[in-house]
Amino acid sequence: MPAELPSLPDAGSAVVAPPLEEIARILTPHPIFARFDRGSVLAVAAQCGFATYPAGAALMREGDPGTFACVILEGEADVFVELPAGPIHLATIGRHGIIGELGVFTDLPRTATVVARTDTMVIRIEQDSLMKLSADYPSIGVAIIRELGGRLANMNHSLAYLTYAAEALGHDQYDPAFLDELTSQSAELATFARVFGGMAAEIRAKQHRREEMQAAAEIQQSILPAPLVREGPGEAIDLHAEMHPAREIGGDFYDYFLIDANRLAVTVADVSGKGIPASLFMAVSRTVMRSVSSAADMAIGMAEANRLLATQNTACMFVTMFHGVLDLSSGVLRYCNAGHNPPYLLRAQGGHDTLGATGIPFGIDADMPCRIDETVLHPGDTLFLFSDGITEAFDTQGEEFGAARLEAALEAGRGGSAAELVSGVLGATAAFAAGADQSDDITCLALIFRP
Amino acid sequence: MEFAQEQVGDVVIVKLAGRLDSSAAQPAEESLTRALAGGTPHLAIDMSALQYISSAGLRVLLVVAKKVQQAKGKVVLFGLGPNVREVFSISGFDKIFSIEADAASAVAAVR
Repeated sequence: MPAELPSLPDAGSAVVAPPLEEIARILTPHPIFARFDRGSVLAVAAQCGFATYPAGAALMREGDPGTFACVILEGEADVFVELPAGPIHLATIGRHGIIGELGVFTDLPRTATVVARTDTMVIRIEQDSLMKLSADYPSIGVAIIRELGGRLANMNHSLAYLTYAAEALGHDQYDPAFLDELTSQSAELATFARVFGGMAAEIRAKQHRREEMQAAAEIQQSILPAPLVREGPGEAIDLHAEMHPAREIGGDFYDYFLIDANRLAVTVADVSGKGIPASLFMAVSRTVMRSVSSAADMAIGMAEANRLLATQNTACMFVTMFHGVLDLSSGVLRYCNAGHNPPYLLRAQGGHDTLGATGIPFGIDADMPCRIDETVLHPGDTLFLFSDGITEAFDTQGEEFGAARLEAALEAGRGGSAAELVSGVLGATAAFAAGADQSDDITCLALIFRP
Repeated sequence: MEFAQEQVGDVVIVKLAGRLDSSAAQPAEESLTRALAGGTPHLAIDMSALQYISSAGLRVLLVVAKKVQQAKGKVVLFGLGPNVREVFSISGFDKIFSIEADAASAVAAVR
C-alpha cells in the first residue's frame, strides 16, 4: 500500500481503441449497463474514450467531482478511502472491472481514491456523453434508476448481516460462517467481511485470555493466608489484611503466621512492576520468605532470602519488603525493611512512629547482609503495613493520595478494629481516586496488639 | 515518555522526560540499551525532566546498570527532582546508583 496517495488525478494518455462490438461485450455484464438494451450499449460504446495509467498513477481522487467511469481493459487498480489514520485499502479491481460508475450518473464527489497497481489501460465513459445519449435512449435513464435502487436494497441486506454478526459476537455466539455471504456481495464488502472476521477472532482470543487471568487471580487470592484464629496466641492480635491488584493479578503480597506459640511473623512486600511478570516473582518471593522464617537468626535468614532472590535473576526483578517478628508476650518487634515504604506504628497514647528502611530492596545484591532493627509495641498500639499503591493512588488530575491523607485516614480509624481501619484507608483512597484507573497494586495490613 | 541523546566527548548523555512507568518501561529500556552500543559505555542519565518513576522504571535503571557493569563501563544519574529523589531515598536506590547534582559533575564522574 503506498504511504501517501498521489495528489492529482492523472489525465491518462491515449490508446488504440478496440472494436465497438468488443467494447459492448465488456460493458454489458456490469449491473449498471446490464439493464441497457443492445442499441443503448452500442451507442455508449461508440462514445467511449480510452486511457492508460502507469503503475502508481491516480485514476481518480476521493472528494473530487466525478465525471467519468472506467472499465479496466488490462491491469489492476487499488481502491482506497482516506481516514485520519491513513489510507485504507478497500478493494483491488481487475480486468473488466468497473470503477467510479456513480460519477457517471450523479454529481456526487468521488467516494474513494483509485490508484493503478500495475500499468493499466481503461475504457472511459464520460458523464457528458452519457447524459446526451439518454435523451436519445430513454431506457438508459430507467436502467440507471433501477440499478441504484437495487444497490440500496443490497446494502441494507449486507448491513443486516453485519449487525447480526456484531450482536452474535457480543453474546459469544459468533460463527465465522455468518460473513461468508458478504464475501460474494461486492469487492468492498468482501474486504470488510475479512477485516471483521479478523477482529472477531482477536476479541474471542482476548476473552479467553481474560478467563485464564481470572482463574489465576483466584489462585493468587487463595494463596493469601486465612484470618488468624482469635484464640490461644491469636487472642492478643486483631489483624486484618487485603490485597487488590491493579490488573487481574498483582505483584504485591502480604503474609502472616504464628511461628510458634509466642511469635507472629508479618510480611508486606511489593515486587517491581505489575501484572504477570510481577506476580510470578511474587510467588517465588513468598515461598522464599516462608522457607527462611524458621531460621534461628533473623538476620541470617533474611540475608539468605535476599541471596536466593538475587541469584538467577537476569530480569533484574526486585522486591521491597517489610518483614517483622512480634514477640506476643513482650511486644518486641524485630524487623527488617528492605527499601519498602515505612510502615506506621500508631501509638495508643497518641502520635505515631515510622519504621524506616534497614537496607535496599531484595533481589539486587546477592551478598548484601540484612540489618535488623527493633521497636516495642505497647498494648493498644497499631502496626499498619501498606504498599505504595496507597500513597501513589492518583486522582483524575494526576495528584497523589500522599502520606498526609494516609495519616489522616489512620487517625480517623483510631479506636476501631483492624478491619475497620483497613476499610477506612481503602475507602479514603477510593474516594480520592474517584474514577481514575488503579495505577498500582494496593495492599494494607493492620495489626492491633491487645495482649 | 520522551528520550533524547547527545554525545559529549566519549560520554553519552541521555535525557529522560515525562513519566517512567510500566508502559514507558519497555521503550525506555530499548532506548537506553541502544545508547550503550559501541565500546565501553560512559553513560550519564539526565533525570531533570522526569516527573515520576515507578518500580518498573527503577527496574529499567537496574537492568541498564547491570549491562554497564558487564561492559566494564560507568553510569551516573543527575538532576533528580524532589519526587524522584524521594523514591530513590525510600527504596534505597540512592545507595545503589551514583548520583550527581548536575551535568558537569556527572560527565566528569563518568568519563
